Amino acid sequence: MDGSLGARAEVRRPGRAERAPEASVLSRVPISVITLIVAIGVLVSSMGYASGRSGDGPHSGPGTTLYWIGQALILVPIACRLLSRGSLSNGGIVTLIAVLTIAEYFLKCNYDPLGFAFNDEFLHWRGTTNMLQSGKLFELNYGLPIGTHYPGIEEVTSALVSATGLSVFEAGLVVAGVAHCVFILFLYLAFVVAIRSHRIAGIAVLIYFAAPSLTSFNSMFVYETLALAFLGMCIVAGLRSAIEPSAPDRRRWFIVAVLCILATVITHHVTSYMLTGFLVLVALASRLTGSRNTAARFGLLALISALSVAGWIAFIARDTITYFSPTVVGMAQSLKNLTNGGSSGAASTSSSPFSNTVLEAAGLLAITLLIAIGSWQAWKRYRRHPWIIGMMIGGTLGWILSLGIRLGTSDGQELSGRAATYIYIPVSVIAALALTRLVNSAPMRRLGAAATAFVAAAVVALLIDGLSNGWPPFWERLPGPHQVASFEASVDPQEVAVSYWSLAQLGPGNVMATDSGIYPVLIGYGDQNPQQQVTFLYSTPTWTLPVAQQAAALNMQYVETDTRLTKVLPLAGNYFLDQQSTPTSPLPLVYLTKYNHIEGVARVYDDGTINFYDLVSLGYVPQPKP
Amino acid sequence: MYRNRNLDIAIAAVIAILGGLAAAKHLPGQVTIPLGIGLFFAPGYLWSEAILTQRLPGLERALTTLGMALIFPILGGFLFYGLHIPLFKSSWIGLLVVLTLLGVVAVAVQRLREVPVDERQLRRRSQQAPRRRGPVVLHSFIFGLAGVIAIGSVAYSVKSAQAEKFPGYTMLSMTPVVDNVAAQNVAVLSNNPTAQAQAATIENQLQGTATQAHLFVADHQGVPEQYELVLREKGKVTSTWNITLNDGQSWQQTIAWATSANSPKLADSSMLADLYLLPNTTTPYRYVNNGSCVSNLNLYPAALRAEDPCIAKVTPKVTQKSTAKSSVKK
Repeated sequence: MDGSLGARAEVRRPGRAERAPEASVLSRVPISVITLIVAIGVLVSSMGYASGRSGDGPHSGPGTTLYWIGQALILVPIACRLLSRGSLSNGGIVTLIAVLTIAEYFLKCNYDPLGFAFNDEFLHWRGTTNMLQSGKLFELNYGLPIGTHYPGIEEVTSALVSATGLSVFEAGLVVAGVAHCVFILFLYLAFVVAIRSHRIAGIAVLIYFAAPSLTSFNSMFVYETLALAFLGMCIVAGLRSAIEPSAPDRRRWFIVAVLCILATVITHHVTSYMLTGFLVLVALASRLTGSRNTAARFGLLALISALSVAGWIAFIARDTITYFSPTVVGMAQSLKNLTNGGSSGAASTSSSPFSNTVLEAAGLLAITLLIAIGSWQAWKRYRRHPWIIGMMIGGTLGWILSLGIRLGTSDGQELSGRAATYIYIPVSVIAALALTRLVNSAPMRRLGAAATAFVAAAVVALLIDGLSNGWPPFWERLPGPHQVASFEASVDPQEVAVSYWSLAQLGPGNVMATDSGIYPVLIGYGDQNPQQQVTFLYSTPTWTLPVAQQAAALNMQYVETDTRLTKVLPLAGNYFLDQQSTPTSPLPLVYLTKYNHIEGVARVYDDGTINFYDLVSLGYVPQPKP
Repeated sequence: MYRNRNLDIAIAAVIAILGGLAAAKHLPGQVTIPLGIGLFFAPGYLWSEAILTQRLPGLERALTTLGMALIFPILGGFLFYGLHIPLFKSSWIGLLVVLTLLGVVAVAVQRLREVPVDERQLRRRSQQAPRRRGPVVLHSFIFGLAGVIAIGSVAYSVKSAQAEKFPGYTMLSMTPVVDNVAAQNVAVLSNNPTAQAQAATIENQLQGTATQAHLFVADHQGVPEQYELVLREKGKVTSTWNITLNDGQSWQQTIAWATSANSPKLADSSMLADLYLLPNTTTPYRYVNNGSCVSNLNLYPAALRAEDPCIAKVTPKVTQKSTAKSSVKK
C-alpha cells in the first residue's frame, strides 16, 4: 500500500469490530449500561447544581462533591470503555461519543435552564431578536459589533423560530446542541477516514474533550459553535471528495465541501481562517507525501476558502481587520519580547486554586509528551499518509505556538484556551496514536487491566483538567447566589427585569455606564449600548470637572449603580470592564451615591440596590437658579 | 423495502406543507413545534439525498442531513438579502417549504435516473445480521431508562432553578415619555454609526420637549405588597396613589412632566416621587426625581430633604459640583 488516500479508500472502513488479543473486565460492560451510568452522572451533577442554588453556590461543599462525582460517572466509564483492549464496534464507539457529547451538553443546559446565562449568548440572543423584528441581516448589535457581519447563527435560529414558534432561547438551545453534536461526530468521522481505525479515532475524540473550551464556549449559543459544525463537515466532505472511488461521487462531496466553506465564512471569522489554514496544511502534506490528486483537490478547496474569506472581509466585514489588529499586534509584540530574552509583560491571570494549577501543568506536560511520542509514531509508521503527517505538522506547530501564547502574552491563558478548540484537533490525533502505542506496548500488555486502568485514569485526569480550567471558572462552578461583577454569577432575575425595564421605559440604544455584571444583560435583553470605558465614573467621591467633561465627551446618557459593589469584591477580579488594577477593597459607597446630589442629574430608577441616573437631564431639566 | 423507497420524499413533502400551514396559521405549539422541526430539517434530508446519491451509512446520512439543514437558512438568508427580500417569518417558512419541495423533485428525478439496486441484494443485506430479540429489548429498555433519567435531570434542574430564592425588590421609575422612532427603528440604525448618533441626539432633544412621564412600580418581593406613592411638585404633594401589587405585577401612571420647554427658566420645577411600603408611611422605601432642586428645602418633610439633588450644597463638595455643572451645560 502506498499510503495515498486513493489507495486507502479501498480499506478506509475498518471491520465492524476491532478486536485486540486481550479483553479486560471493562470491555465487557455493555454500551447501554454505560449510557445508563452516564445519565445517572448527569443527574448527580445536576443535583450538585441544585445544591449550589439552594446554598452557597460554588462554596457549597456537598454541591461541589456531587458535581465532580457526576462528572466522574460520565467520564470514567466512557474513557475506560474506549481505552480498554476489548472489541468495540464502530456503532459502539459512535454511541459512546454521542453519549459523552450529549451528557456534557445537558449539564451545560442544566447550569441555567430558564434562560441564557453565559455572556456571549446574550449578544446572539439580541442579534436574533433584532433579525426577527427587522427582517434584515447585519443588524446593529452593541455588544458584538463584529458579530453583525457574521449572521449565520442568527439566520438559522430565526428560521427555526419562524417554523416552530419556539422562543429564541429554546430555538438557540436546539441549534447549539445540534451543531455541537454534529461537529463532534463529524470530527470522529474525519479521524476514522484519516487514521483508518475506529478505536484510535474514538480515543482521539475522547482526548479532544480535554480542550478547555469544548464543553463551554463551543457548546454555547454563539457563532463559533455553529461554524465548527461546518468545519467538521467540510473536513469530512473534503476527505471524501479526495478518496471516493467514483468521479461523480468525488464531485458531489466537493460540492458539499464548498457549501460548508461558504456557510463557515458567513458564520464565524476565526473558524473560517482556521478552515482555510487546515485545507492548506492538508494540501501541502499531500504534496509532500506524493498524493498529487489529494493535494490538487485540497489546494482548490483552500483557494475557494481563501477567496471567500477575502471577499467577505473586502465587501461585507471590513471591521474584521480593525477588530483583530490589536490582538494580533499585542501577541506578536509579546512573543517578540519573549524571544529577545526580555519580559513579555504578561501578567499572571491565573488565580485558580493550587490543585487546578497543578492539574493544568501536568496536563500540559502530558500532552507535550504524547505529542512527542505520537509524532515519532507518525513519522515511523505513517510517513506516506498525508493526513497524519499534516496532523503531525499542524499539531506540533500549533501546540508550540499555543504554549508561547499562553506563557508569553498578557491574556495568553484565555487566548490559548480559545485557540485550543482548533489546535486540539491535530493534537488529539497525534496523542491518540501515542496512547494506543503505549497501551499496546509489550510492557503494558504484561500489566494487563492495571495498565489500561492507569491510562484511563490519566486520560480522565486530562479531561478533568479541561473542565476545571475551562469555563465556568472554579468560583462559579455551581450556580448560586448573586455575585457582583462576575459574569454568569451576576445574572439574576433582577438584572433581567432591569434590562427589560430599560428597553420599555428608556427605549433602545442608550449610551450607559454599568458594572461588568449587568453589562451583557443590558445589551441582550435591554438592547442598550453600555460602554467599556467607565471606571472614571465610579472612581471619585464627587462629581468633578474632569469626570463631567469625560462623560460629556463619551455622550454618556445614563449611569447605573449597584450598591452591592460597595459590600464585596468581585470574584472575577474587576468591577468594570476597563478597570486596570484589581481592587483590594469594596467600592466606597460615596462613589455611587454622589449621583444623588448633582443638580440636574435625575434619579430615574430605584429598586433598592440598582439605580439609574440620567446625566443628560442636566441639559433639559429647568434649573431654578442661574 | 424497495417498494417503499420513495416513502421518505412523500413524508417530507407532507411535513413541509403541513409545517408551513401550521406556522402560517399560528396553530398551537403541540402541532407547530413537531411539524416545524420537521420542516426545518426536511430540506437537509432531501438535498443530502439529492446531492449525495450514494448509499451512505446511517450516521453519515444523519449528519449530512443535519449539516445541510443548518447550511440552507444561512445561504438562503444571504440570497434573500441580495434580492432585498425581508427576512420575516413568512420568508423563512417560504424558503424552507420551497427548498423542501424542490428537494422532493430533485430526489425523485435522481431516483428515476439511477439504476435500481437488486432487491435480492437488499434482502441479503438485511438478513446479514440476524438480531437476538432478548438482548435488543433489554438494551433498548436500558437506553430508554437512561434517556428518561437524562431528561429527568433537565426537569429537575428547571424545578430547582424556579425554586431558587432571590432577595425581593420593588422597582420604581419616573421617565419622560419619548416616542423616539429614530432610536427604535433597528433597521435604520443597522450598522450605521451616524444614524445611531442622530438617534441619541434626537432622544435627548425629545426628552427636553417631553410633556409627560411614566411613573412605574413593579413588585418582585415574592409576596403581594401594598404601597403608597406620593408625587411632589415644587415641594408640594400633588398626587397620592395607593397601590396593591402581587408578585410580578406592575403599575404605571402617566403624569405631566416639567422640562425646560414647558417651564419658566428660573421656576421651581422639582418633581420627587416617594414610594412607601405600607404600613410604613414615614420612611420612603424608594424614590426617584427629575434632577431639579426644590426652591426651598423646608417645603419637604425632614425625612425627604436628603432626596433633593441640592442637599449636598451645604457640604464642602459644592464647589466641584457647580463647576462640573457649568462645564456640562456648555
